[in-house]
Amino acid sequence: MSTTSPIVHIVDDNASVRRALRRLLASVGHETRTYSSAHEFLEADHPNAPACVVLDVRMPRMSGLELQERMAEQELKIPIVFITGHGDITMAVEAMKKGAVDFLPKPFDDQELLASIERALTEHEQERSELAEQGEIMARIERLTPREREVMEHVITGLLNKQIAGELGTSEKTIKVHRGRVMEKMEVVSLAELVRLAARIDVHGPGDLPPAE
Amino acid sequence: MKSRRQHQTPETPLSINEETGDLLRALSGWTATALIQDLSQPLTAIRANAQAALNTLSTPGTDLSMAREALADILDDAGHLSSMLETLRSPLRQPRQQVPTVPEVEVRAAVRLLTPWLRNLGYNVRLLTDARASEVIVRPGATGAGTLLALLGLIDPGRARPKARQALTIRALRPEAGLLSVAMEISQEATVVPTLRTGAVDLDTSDNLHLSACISLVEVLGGRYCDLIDAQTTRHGVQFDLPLTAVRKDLA
Repeated sequence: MSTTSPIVHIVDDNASVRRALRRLLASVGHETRTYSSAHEFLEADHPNAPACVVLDVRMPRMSGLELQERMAEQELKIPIVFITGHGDITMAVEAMKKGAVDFLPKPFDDQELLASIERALTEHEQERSELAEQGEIMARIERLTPREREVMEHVITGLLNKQIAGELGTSEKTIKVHRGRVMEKMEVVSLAELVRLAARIDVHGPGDLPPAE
Repeated sequence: MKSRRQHQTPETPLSINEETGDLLRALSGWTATALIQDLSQPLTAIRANAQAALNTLSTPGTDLSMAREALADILDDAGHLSSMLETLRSPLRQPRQQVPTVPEVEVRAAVRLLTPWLRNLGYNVRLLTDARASEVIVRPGATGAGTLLALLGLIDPGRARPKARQALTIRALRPEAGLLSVAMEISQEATVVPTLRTGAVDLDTSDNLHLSACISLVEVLGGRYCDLIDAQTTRHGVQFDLPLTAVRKDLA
């Protein structure tokens, strides 16, 4: 994962609001990037760093709510804090249902905005950390042979070597060897640890692992 | 925005007074929405700039230029707020003007503009002078944006009913108000819900409240808007796109 500092993206068509928010966030140490439209945000490069978007709802061409949908379509998973001059309850509910962190009516309390941004950044950091961990586990699984994958899927259900041998139609001794290699390649020392790792990628038994390439 | 009309049966015709009442109530709501939107922008900027300046001044040894810039922007935004209040006050100071009569040519031209689109939607459009018809009154002093607002009140898809609205009268109370300043073009795309596109609304910066009211209304009706930019990247208007309910059976 990159060690880049968190970035707050500000998307608002009003230049005065954009400038003021950038200044406010800079004064408390946040790195910011500003965009005058939803299109400009979508076209920009987004570095691999924890981030959040402070997004105005009402903008020409593409509204903030439409941008939220486009981001979901493009799997651009950056938490959003909506700001709006004329939001209603329906609009707020819709935005929150689609995963927005907060929905703040303008003019908002500065502390409220900063708290929402902190929450959004923490959420993104956690999500990225989980993704990185899952990626690392998947990388270890990539090292397993198809047979070792099968053995792992059975081991994590709590079956004994003898039972797994019966299930897979082989000898107990062979299963013992495979099991040792699984533990080694997955870099774990106990069954409990292996089960925990498997659960992190939603693998709980036979057939849950993706097929080996 | 809901109007009383929606609670009535489609066949029940409303009197001109009821129609006007509905429109005025709707306009009040839209104006309030527009005011909130327009006031909230500079207020948001002022609060954020003030807090940023305070944060900067509270940190010893920091570059004060940022605080100076923030304070300068606060002054600008406060000036913007003041000019908005001045715009709001100015109509109250003006004496009431005599409303001139309507030249028929203006009305006919407006109907000619609307007719193809309305017929396409299944409406029978005629020029009437009695109270049987629904009316849209373009108020004295209406600008292009104000006229658009009035026209949008007429075409609100939630209010449109094929049987209840078989005729329309458009009356311009002041010809120079520019009833025809709103250009309308009907989308020929083969969609079930046709799109009305109005374009090239002339903008006057002092008329931003009207524009905001239009934008709010367009959004309430599920439409979109975008700036019209010329080759010199100057904004010279706003284009509105609205979904409309098709009433012709073969379109539905």
